[in-house]
Amino acid sequence: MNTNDKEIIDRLSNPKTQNVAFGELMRDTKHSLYYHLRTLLYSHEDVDDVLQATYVKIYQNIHSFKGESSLKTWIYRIATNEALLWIRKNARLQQLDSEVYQLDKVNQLSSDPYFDGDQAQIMLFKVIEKLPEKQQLVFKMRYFQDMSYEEIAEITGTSIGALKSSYHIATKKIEDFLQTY
Amino acid sequence: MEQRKSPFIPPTGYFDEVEDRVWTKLKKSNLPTRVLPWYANKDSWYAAAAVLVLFFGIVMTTQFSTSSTAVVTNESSVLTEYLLYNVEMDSYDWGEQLDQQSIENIQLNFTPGISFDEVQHRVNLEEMYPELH
Repeated sequence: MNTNDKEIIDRLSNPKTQNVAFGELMRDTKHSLYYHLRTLLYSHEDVDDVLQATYVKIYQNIHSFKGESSLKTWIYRIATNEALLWIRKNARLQQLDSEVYQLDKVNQLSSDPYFDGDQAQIMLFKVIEKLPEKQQLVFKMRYFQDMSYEEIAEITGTSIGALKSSYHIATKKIEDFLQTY
Repeated sequence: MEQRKSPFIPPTGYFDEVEDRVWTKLKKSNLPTRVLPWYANKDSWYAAAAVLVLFFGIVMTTQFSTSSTAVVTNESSVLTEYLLYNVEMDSYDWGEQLDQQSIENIQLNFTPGISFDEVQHRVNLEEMYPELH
């Protein structure tokens, strides 16, 4: 565990300082987590729910953080898992396959007031949604969040070699697909 | 492939208020859960009633079957085994499986006109289960 993480964890574990420390943690991470979740879930309303659930989970489980990864990647792992669970749960509720559910969300982007992209970006998201889940995650975290392979490896629990391969395959598939349109 | 920025935008002021909503959620999730006594739960009473019915059912069944003869027991096991593999049985098949003595024993033990007092007499818990008293 690095010094900065240790200091934050110590403050979060102390009842006298935990609320102030948690407020700081939210302030430091809410922007990046929000944009990360938007690339996974697309809809602002869904992201709002999942972001809040993520922070509640972090607050309640901070004692289980062992420092095997950095605090940032641990937080991202919780957010990513919450988002994937959200997709599966809601797809099941609507009796849809996860891919169909996600494509439906992408299709709604054209009328979403909180989406500033164009049709080419919507097309890009449609192509991404056709990739296997792990390739999607790697591509989104690398392409939109500019994360390092080391960070993505810690979040997804995959080796760096496998991640590089996944990213390369995903990029190639997306390029091939976009060239045909 | 060219690196691009996220095309997603949050509503105005979203980041200013999200922390407050997380705190509200945390306060709600930390509220102590009110624990009700068992007797306040209707299901507990149903469960207790079911256990009593089951208990007396077993007691009565045991009482009746203890006065059956060995012949009936043997016949019963034969019948049970037969029924397991021969679901469709007609009256002729039943007649084939039971002799006269067995039929009389069954009639003796399952007489429909049995009085309440006799049932109480037969279901004598103290005699059957002295360890419970």
